[in-house]
Amino acid sequence: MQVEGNHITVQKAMTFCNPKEWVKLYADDLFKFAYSKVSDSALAQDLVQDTFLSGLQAMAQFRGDSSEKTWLLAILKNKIIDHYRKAAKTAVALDSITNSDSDPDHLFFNEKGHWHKEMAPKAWTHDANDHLNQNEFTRILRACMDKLTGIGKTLFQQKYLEEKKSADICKDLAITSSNYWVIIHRAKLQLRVCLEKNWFGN
Amino acid sequence: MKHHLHTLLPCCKEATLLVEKQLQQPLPLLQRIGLRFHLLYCYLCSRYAKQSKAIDQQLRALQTSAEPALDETIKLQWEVLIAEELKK
Repeated sequence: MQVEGNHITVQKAMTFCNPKEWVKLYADDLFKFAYSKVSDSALAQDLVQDTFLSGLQAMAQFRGDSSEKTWLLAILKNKIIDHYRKAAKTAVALDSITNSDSDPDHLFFNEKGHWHKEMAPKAWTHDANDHLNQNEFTRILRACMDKLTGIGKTLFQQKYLEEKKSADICKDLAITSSNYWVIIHRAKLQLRVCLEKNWFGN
Repeated sequence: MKHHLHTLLPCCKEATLLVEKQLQQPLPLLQRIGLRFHLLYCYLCSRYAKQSKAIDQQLRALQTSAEPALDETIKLQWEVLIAEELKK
């Protein structure tokens, strides 16, 4: 009975799954989706490749309840979540190792919590919403976002590229809400300085 | 009392954190008053608040901007890879 059941599943999988067509049919959409979540083209490619490989291994479990595309997309989503989990873990581990010495807040504020003169916000010469130079600004903004490190980068990407709710981000990455604000705050301080140096400063 | 006083008189580090928080959600009353008051007398944080809001708007717009296309050579590689795996 059991054997027969398996046999039917495999047969069904054979009729519904056609891996030879995967790249042609789904590669672009899967990549687009992955890129929108991680905003890193090389990483998005790796994730899609992993998705195809996992799909090949799991083909027998594919029941044809959903379309092949939906099924592959579900695998990809799990890959993306795994990636962010891993990133969050290493970032937290690194933060706890280096601890207060490299507390980025000291870069911006003194022990009383006041701005260091040289790191304080300067008046901007360009208007951030000046549409003439929008493309150039977007390019610099993306570059500055890429420069962010560790968990700050992860949070920013999830917040702004995925438009995830902060409560969901905290749950997915297992961080407290007060940690969330500290990390967002630090990342924004770094992003602001990067923009000031590369765009508004000249 | 001491706690409330602290909330009502945030330092720049705390005030800028509240600015970030307020960009995403409404603040509790005491924090809101504290931040408002701080921004009245601190021109640096007031400047930070304006700039941070502008950055926030640009970040939200990023979402809709174009993404790169997938390289054709990668697709070929994947097709070969899948064919190899199927042979196993």
